[in-house]
Amino acid sequence: MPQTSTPHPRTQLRQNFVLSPITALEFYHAESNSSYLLAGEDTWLRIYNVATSRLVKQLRVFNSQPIHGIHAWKSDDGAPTTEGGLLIWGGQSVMVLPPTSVTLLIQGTAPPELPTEFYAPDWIYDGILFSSKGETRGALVTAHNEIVTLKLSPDGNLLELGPVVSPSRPILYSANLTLLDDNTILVAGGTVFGEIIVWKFCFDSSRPSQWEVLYVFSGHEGSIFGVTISPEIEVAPGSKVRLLASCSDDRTIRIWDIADRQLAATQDGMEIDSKTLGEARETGFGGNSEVKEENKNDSTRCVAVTMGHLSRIWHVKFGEYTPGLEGPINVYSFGEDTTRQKWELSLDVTGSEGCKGALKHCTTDSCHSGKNIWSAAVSNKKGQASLIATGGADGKIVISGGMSSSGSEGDYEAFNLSLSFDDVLGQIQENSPTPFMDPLPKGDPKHAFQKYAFLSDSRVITTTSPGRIFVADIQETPKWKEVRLPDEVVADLRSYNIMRSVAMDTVVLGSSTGNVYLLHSRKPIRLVGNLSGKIQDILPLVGVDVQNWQAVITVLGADRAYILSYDASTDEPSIGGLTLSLPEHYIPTAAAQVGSAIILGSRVGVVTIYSFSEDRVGTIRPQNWSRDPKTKDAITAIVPLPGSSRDFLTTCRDGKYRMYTIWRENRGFSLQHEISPPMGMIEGAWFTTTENPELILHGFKGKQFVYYNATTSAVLASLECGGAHRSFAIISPLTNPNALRLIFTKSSHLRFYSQSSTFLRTLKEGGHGREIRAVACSANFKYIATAAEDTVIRIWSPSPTGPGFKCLATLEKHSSGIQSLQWKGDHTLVSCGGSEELFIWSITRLKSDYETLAVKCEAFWNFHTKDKDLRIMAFDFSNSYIGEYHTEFAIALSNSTIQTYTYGERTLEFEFGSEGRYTGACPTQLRYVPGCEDIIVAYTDGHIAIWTRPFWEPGPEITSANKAPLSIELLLKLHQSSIKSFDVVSPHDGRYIIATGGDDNALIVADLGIDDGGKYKVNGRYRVSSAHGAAVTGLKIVRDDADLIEVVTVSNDQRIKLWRAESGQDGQGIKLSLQDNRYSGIADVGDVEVISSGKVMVGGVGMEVWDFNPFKWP
Amino acid sequence: MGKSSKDKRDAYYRLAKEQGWRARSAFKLLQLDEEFNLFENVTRVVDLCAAPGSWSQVLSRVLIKNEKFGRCAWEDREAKFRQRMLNAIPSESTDSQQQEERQDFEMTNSQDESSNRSDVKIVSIDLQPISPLPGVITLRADITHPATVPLLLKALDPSYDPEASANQQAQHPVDLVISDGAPDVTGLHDLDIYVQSQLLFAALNLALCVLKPGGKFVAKIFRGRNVDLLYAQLKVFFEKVYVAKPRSSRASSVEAFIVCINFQPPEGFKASLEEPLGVGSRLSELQQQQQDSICQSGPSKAGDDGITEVIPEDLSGSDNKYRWVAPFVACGDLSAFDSDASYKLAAGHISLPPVQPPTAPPYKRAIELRRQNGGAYGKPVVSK
Repeated sequence: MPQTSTPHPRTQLRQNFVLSPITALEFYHAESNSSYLLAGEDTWLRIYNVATSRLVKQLRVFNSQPIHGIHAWKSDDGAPTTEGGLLIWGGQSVMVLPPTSVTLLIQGTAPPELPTEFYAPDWIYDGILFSSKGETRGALVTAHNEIVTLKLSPDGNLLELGPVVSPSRPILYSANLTLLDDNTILVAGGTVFGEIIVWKFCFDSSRPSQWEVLYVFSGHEGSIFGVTISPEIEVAPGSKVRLLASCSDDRTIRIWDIADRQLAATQDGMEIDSKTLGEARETGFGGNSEVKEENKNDSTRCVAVTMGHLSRIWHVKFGEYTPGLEGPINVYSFGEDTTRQKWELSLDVTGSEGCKGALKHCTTDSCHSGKNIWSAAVSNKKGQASLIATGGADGKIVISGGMSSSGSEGDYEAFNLSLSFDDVLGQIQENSPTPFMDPLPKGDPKHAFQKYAFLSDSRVITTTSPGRIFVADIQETPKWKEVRLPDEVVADLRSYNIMRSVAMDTVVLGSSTGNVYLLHSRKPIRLVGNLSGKIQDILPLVGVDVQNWQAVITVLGADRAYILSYDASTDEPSIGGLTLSLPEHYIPTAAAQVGSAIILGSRVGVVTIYSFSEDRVGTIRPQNWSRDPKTKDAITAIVPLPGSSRDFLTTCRDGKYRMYTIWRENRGFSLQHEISPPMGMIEGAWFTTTENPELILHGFKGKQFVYYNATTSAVLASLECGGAHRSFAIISPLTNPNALRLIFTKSSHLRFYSQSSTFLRTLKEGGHGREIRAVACSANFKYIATAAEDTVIRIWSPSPTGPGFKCLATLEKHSSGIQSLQWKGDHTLVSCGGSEELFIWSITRLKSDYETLAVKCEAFWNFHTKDKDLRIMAFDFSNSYIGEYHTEFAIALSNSTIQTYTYGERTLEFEFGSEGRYTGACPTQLRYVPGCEDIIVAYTDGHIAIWTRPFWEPGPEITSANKAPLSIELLLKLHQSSIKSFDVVSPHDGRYIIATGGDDNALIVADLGIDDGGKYKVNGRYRVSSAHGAAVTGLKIVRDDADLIEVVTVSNDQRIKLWRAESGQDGQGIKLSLQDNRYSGIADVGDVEVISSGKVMVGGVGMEVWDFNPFKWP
Repeated sequence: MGKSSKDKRDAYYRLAKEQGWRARSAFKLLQLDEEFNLFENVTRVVDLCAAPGSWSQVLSRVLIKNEKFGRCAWEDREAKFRQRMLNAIPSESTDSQQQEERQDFEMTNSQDESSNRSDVKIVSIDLQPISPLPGVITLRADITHPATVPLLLKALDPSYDPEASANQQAQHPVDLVISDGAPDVTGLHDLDIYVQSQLLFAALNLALCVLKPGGKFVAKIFRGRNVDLLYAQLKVFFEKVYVAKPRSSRASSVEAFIVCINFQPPEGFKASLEEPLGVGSRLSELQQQQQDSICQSGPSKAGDDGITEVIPEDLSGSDNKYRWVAPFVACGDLSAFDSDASYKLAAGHISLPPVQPPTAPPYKRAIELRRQNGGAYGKPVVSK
């Protein structure tokens, strides 16, 4: 670094984007009748329009404190609430946005100035604003069961915090406040030790005592993570109860009766009774607690208890109910397992023991990725279904309920029917009083539904074991009728038949005698031909003209499949003019035409290509075939990619879908993409015809039928159906995948399900649901890959419309934590982690209208130890090629060794080179020295080692791997303990600048050179001891000029810092300066990476982008 | 993960079982002691949040039974050998190293039976019961509860009369207060850091009541956001504050230990659990008075390793008032087993059962019920 004469301007950091857990949610109903969802995302308040999902405005509320709660002034019945402002809190920070500011915000305008951030004496769990005697007031409850009052100005600005009041100060995990009347607040606190304290606070200070303890509930066996006080619930005219819901570490949800005479008559109910907890209480888990005698009865006030969720339950909230208890009270719980569960609480207030009830489980909806629903809001408007929002650790917001169906064309009705055979027979008799065929007798146990097909959106058809065919028109619900069939057709279809929908209003049927029939909605059934053998399947040829449709007919044991063609101009079907020759024992299960090729898929997963032209007759022989060696399961669908004549998709019962590209002249095809969506067996797929086509899959997962949008990774429907291997038919408008009709058999009943829209809607997309451990950007800043503790890799590209990113692919193959991630070019990604997993991914973009990345795991490292229990901590590719297609790469294993291999880009195989063993300490980072084949490794003992090899000439054996032994040339102590982050640059030949961040809070810059003997020499090591307040877990050299380098560091202390190193005075040593130091919203940070010129991405709990530039931000 | 797989992944887990410790965390205290001589001239100790009792076990074996644990307790001999070979240990220190090693050898786990000490007082407190340990008085109590102070003082001095004593200050204070308490983390980092800091303050509040001037305080800390505020607050009461990371604590964990040396209560300060620190404004007022005394003391072990210490020019303009980063000290020397590395087990290795089974989690009943109802995915049902 030669000395610089002109000083460089200071480089500063500016936050450009943050995706963080949603830690607070609240609904806000404006006077305009629009509803808004207020979300706390790190320090930001974000306001979304519920109807349009649009982000209306965002405001940075706190300086360096995430928002944990938002309270919008509310009336009891959920009516518009503009009179009050917003109370926002997080940690000890609290702010009130006055009504005028809120009005501006929902109009999309930033308020002229941000109110002052106040600090409460302790952590805040809940807060409310209310009006008392014409004055606006507020209160907070803290983690030590204290009430802090808020004093507001007439225009709704927070002026000061009042004194602290508490009956006892156990440490809480949850608390909730409700206004009882002008004077009194009801407080519920859930303690760390499993108790719930319910008390009243009177803010009329003229009273002798400001508080009174009402109940102390014990019964939970673990910490109370959520408490919610219900509104007053009218159980009978004039009779009201108030309930408390609680959820706990013990996986139970409990409902408590907290109404009592005192509460009913609060006006004069403030006298102090014997239950006061003047002195703090002994606390402890379960049996430990010495509940006071007078509190023992409190636990009999437990109304209902139930167990739910696979792990901890964070929140429980009350939903809608009908006054007078004509129906149940809905209760919602939200858990660590990312599910939202709905419960129905039925109450009995007639018994002598007071209010008793039961909780019945209704639904479980998986809403988020990874772990944890951190925030939830429920809004109950009279006479409407509850509006429910959940916010996850994944930064996603999911919303449901309260939405009126738009009623636009293509929408379906919502129903869920279960009909026995006799039910359907009864309906047929009702709908056709004068039957044209002999009515089937009722009560025959052998009668069964056989095959289903949709003739159109509003017409469904089923074949039956007696050989009769029923059809239903759907007007609100299905109306069943029978199809007129000649007696000989009934006899032919009896006991065995096959039926498929091939085009609008058209099905093709096949029988065991080899007859093929055509049935059109408005025409009598027609015999198309006989194929001398049992018709095994009818496979509509996907991708051909919908008017002149074609289908592939397969016959049991035949050596060929027959093409059935329909000519719309003559209304003539023809069969057998063209046949496809089949390999031995080949049972086709799916067919499609892609460009000028016909693709067949088989029962054991073989995909076969035939070259085809319109005028061809006779038998076509296959051009080529291929099968994934890992699968033996049936191909269930083949679909051409929209707008492509070369690319197609297959779905398979092995749970994967794959994409292939056909070679020139249909000579074969190659796999481009292979993905396992969260389904056990995929049964079919289609693309929407929307402007940006989306891929819609359906299949089975355990006992569920799953309907899934693979483009948005959203489960659109999940329905218990009893499991795979059943007859079913499905249809959805291609323009609206959220609507769905599904018909299937379950325990000999016909089940018919129809949905108008998805129950759950993603208001805002999220990312990883666990901590990001690695961020890597491809060579030309094209893609960004992130890997997280949840073992998932996501690939992103910058959003074309603004800051933010679009997730292009989700890679789920790792079975344990991913340690490191790196691109080679723009199309190869390598990931490594626990269980000795190292995968090489190929990433390409197919030329089709479906915008997706084609991703496949191309190769994996397979030199496993016996137990496969080491972790691959890091790896790197060498800088040069060996021959034309081989590169060397090195890996670092948790047993203190590093190993080198060559990897053949054509062979996709690894060959072992050599190994170097260190002291026993675990390596944390590994990198080839820029410009040479030496390897730098950082270790948990704070050292870096440079491993080198003597010049090596391959022997007579044919090998491409460098077998020369590895030895340490330079060992350098840098940190006191583990090196957590590392980067190296070479400003010029023979000069290396290494920067490291340690567990010891230090930043170290080491300046290395090469001495005259060609050995490494240390020019200097420079340490900033307390560079951060905690471990420096991410570090990147972001600027590497001739005369200075700049380093970005991130740490668990949630600061992002930018450091500059330049030559010291008179060229001696290095001068370090801290250029910028900012709060980062990313906790438990794992990595930092340059994602384009002047931008870094920080990954941890969420992701964040910072601009860095050597000028002052406006 | 199988048992022997865990033995490989976690050397200290295996060593703890082999050496009879109730939990691997025993090594954390031993390694802290090695660095800071925590037990030197110490006869009266209070162990907070002690269950399952591995730290009390260390106290019992070191202070009562007079056992000595040197480096050999956790030394990876092969690592030491390889370090020599790879020259990881600077040659100039080899002599002293060898000397130390000889000493180590003599010191390792030697027990002087004759000198079982009777003047030693160890009191352990936890909410959970702790299995008895020789010479250790165990109390089941909530350390945040004001009544715990008289309880503790009585345990330390049977003659203590809570009625007669006007304040909660101990008459015969203790030399060392230690706490290895940690909450079950929720995953909401903010909240977990807060709850951990409250546990730390609970321990500190109690320590302030019973610690003698010049005494020491050691507690677990999560190194996360605003930990520098916490360091600065501890500095109000102690001359020296370090943040220490034993080699037996995983580098991947946010856990570290705050080691506070030479208790110097501010003038006029009276400790009380009725008015605890950690919430409210009392501590920040104390801090304002003390502001001058918190000066950035240099790192303890730096300077002798050939690395140039740099004080960077701070151009960021950020406000660091009330923030201070305690010097970091790694404990347990480099030949200690690495808690992050995987180790090969000797041929014929038999995986031992843990010395004490883990305490039952609050969701134990949920797991049992789920099992009864058809495995992990069966619908759990509970009867009232």
